[in-house]
Amino acid sequence: MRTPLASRLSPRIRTLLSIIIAIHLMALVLPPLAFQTRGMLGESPSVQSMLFPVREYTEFLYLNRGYAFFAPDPVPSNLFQAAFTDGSGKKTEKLFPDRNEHWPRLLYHRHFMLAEFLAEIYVAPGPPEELFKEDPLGAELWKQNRARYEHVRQSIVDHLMHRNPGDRVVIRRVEHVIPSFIEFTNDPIELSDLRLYRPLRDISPLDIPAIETTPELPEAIPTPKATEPNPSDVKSSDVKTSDVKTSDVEGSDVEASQSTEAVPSISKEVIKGDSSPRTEAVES
Amino acid sequence: MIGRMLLEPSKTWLTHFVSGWDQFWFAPRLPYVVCMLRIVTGLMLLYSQLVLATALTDFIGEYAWINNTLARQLHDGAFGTPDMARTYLWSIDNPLLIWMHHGITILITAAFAAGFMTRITAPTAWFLQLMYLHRLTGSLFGLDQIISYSAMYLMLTPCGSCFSVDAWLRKRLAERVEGDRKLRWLFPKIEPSVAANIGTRLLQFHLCVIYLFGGLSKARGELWWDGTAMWYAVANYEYQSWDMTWIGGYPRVFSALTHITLFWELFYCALVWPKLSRPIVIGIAIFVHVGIAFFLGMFTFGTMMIAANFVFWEPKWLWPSLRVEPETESTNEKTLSDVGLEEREKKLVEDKAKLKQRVETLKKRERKVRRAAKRLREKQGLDTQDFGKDDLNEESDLQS
Repeated sequence: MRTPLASRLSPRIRTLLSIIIAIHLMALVLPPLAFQTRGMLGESPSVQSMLFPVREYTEFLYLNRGYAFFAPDPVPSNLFQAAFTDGSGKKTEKLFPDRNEHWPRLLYHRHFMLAEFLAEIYVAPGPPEELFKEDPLGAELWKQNRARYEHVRQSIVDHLMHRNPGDRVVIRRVEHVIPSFIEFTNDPIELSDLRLYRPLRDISPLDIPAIETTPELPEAIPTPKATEPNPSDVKSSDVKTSDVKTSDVEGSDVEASQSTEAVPSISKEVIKGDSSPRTEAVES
Repeated sequence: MIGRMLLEPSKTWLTHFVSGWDQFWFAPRLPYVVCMLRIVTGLMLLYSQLVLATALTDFIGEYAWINNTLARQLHDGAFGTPDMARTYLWSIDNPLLIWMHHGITILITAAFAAGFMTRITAPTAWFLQLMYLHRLTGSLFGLDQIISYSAMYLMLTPCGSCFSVDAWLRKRLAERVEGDRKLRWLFPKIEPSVAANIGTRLLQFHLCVIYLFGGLSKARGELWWDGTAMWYAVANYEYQSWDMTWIGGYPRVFSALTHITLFWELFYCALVWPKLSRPIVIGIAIFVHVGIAFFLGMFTFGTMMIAANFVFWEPKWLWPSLRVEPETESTNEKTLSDVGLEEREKKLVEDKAKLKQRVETLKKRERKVRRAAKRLREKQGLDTQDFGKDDLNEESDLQS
């Protein structure tokens, strides 16, 4: 079977190369396998044991990926919105990523991934004190993950403040809902329609019921009544993407601030074509 | 007896496995495909670095989106388990140093793309890319993965041996290269090599892993089974670069595309190897990635994935003229070890021919003697045992 040229390598070198190749192949297969076998209790113990010897190798070579592109299901995009208030009190808002500003497309994608990263690592405020008694490990993990999210959020705010000296900056996460094809074909809606953008609140899960019962809570960007919008309620011409920058941002939705002020307030302008405030809970 | 019955097939299987493994990994391969892939990977890497340069301090440095301190903390265990995704870029705060570093990175990457000093610039470009990856946590996506993996495997191969500045230099400095072992390594010639094969095989295997787990993770969802995933992909405004929402009016079309994508990803790793199914699998890969490139706003990622898929193409399939190995270099440029091996191979072939000739002669002689013996027996009634077997044994003759 072996060609004369293949036998140029001595058996010893072939054996050595085979061992290196086998280790590398393990490093290719095990990280995505660990990702797939991760459950409520963490990674599969057997996969974890097999991965252990090559874990650092995979981390350094950036092989520790899951390759879950558009998986398990394509989900709504995550963005973040920043509001700037300058010294004179003038307020402007900006959505990240911005197709018009972030060009070329690769740069836009870098900003898009940043917004997705912020959403991916999001952990609600907490944990409640009782959890430290019931599940100290879980509570500690919650605290740690929340700290990570807050640090990333603060770093983004710091960056924006550095780029806009003297401005006060606050950000919040926004989800861009995708209409179902039935709704879309029955009554087409612009994909950039403001009603498809849902601001995501940064609140403890324990506070959600209280907020849901609050009768009037103005939202910066009106949210759809259901999980997905009902295009029959709206006319696509009513609102445009550009309106996002002049939208109404309620302080309680805003996640981060440069100052210690807990609830910063930003301009309130009623969105053209839809002045009625929505009261649905918008937590992800 | 039973043990022997079990042992024999196992032994045969093991022998076949080892032989197949050797053939798969260590059979030499011409470098044309890896050289072409070097150009695409190098240019894509260069483009990525140039785009990063347009907002360099937004992504690297003290006031980046993810600042240096935080980037370090995300990996050093401050927020959980530490990992080995380390980079020195966490420590560079000075914008001037960041720019100088990036300038050098761009130059090295451009040299890699052009195939200049590829033996050095390929691993350097890959290492620099790796350092950027560990620094850009939170801003990375599929493109970063595939260009890094391609660069990693290409640096193992003589990917600068053709379509490169190195090839041109080798021609220009023919005499010097011939007499200098280091230069021969630096400017490799176009010839089948085990290194080209190992790099190619690793990338092929890696692609299979990517698609397999991409498919498996999709199979865990609902939308890839009910056929609507494709709709949700094209109707995602943030990805969209070409409005394809008209497809919403054709559920049969987008659901078929969804199912094809899922099954293609799942079975890619098996169907890409047989020559019969390979063109179909690669054809769908091109179709899917062209779609991603044009409609989902990831032109760079789509292009790079298509290029990576071409690693399954044999050089002779791309250029039929390559079915005969090109004599691009004179024989006196061969390495000393190559010359020695070839001489030994030649000698072995000659010895084999001589042995064959001798066996033929002996066989003829044997037949002659047997005929003579037969005649004698018939005439004189002599017993055949007078002529012992050993007297006519060609093997013992040959051994002597």
